Amino acid sequence: MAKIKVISVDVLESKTVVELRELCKKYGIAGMSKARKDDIVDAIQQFYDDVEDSYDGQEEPKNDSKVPYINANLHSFLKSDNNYQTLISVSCGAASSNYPVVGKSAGYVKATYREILNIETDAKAIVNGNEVNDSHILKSGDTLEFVRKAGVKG
Amino acid sequence: MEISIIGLGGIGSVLSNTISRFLNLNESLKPVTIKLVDGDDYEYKNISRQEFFNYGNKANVKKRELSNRFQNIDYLDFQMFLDENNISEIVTENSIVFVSVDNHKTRRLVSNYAKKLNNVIVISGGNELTDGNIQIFIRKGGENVTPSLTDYHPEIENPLDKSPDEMSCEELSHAEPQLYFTNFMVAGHMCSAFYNIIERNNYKISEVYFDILSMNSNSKTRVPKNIRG
Repeated sequence: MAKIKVISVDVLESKTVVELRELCKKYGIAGMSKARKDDIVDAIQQFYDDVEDSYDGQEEPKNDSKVPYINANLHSFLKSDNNYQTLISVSCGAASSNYPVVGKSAGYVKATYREILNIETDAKAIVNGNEVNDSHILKSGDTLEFVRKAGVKG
Repeated sequence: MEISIIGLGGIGSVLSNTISRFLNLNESLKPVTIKLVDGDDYEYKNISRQEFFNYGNKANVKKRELSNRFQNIDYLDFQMFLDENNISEIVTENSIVFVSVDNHKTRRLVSNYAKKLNNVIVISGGNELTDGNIQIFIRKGGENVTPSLTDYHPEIENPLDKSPDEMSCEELSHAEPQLYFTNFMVAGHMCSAFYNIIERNNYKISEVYFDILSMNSNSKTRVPKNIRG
């Protein structure tokens, strides 16, 4: 998966507040609608740091050990470079899919897949049935859910 | 077995028929009492997505209709909207409460009241135009077995809407468009939840989402937060 393109502080500071808020929406950073420009820039930098940490936490795949079989439930698959990549089930409402996000933060997943899964920016993240914050790092075998708002009408 | 159905609109008017048919000849669950709760009238404008044979107060019309069809069940009609003054008559110990209302304020009222009871099952459903969800809140021995309706839903814990008894006539008459099929899906999932709990002792699922455009359904198991009655 391609890494997020980090925008330098100088470039961030040259942007308007409206542009920065759009960026926050794209990254899934909540609570910025009334924040000051400096705070928005800080929040975006913090987001970059969290994402960078999640990359650092990922173990390098090993080439020297062969896995005897591929799990039939498709939690794992063979990449083109002969390494195994673990998938995590990510869902929001009725939508769900498996994504290669082991070692990534819940916030990163929200930002990356929010349009595909229709995740609202303030959606709570739940890992294995328990609420977590956006900086929570996902492990192999986790199930990640973003809570969709309940239907109102009847 | 004591059952309450709060709200007899697009979801509740279908649900009450289906649950009644299931329970009418079910010997193991006798005797069955079903409380039908709604302060609203069935009118011509509801005809495209609500199941009634006659015009009039929904709880009363539905009671007369179901009493004729399912004679092994006792029906009680509560011709009122649920509020803090009458909830103790409707949400009771050891009962199963179906919440098929059109506002989060009433869902919160039921959820918070149920937290004070030792044993109760609340099955709540709601929808938008083409998608919806149901929530299953089970209390057993004074503990939350599944999350309450508000645990993971701040929009229910801090509702922006009004309950029907707070609305003006104009507000009550204004309704967002709804689709009968979506109401029907919610009612179906509420019945599935009921069957899983009553007949299969399955207490794992706390919420189910569906979307009739993608034709997907997705069930969720969540850990209840530590809220005690």
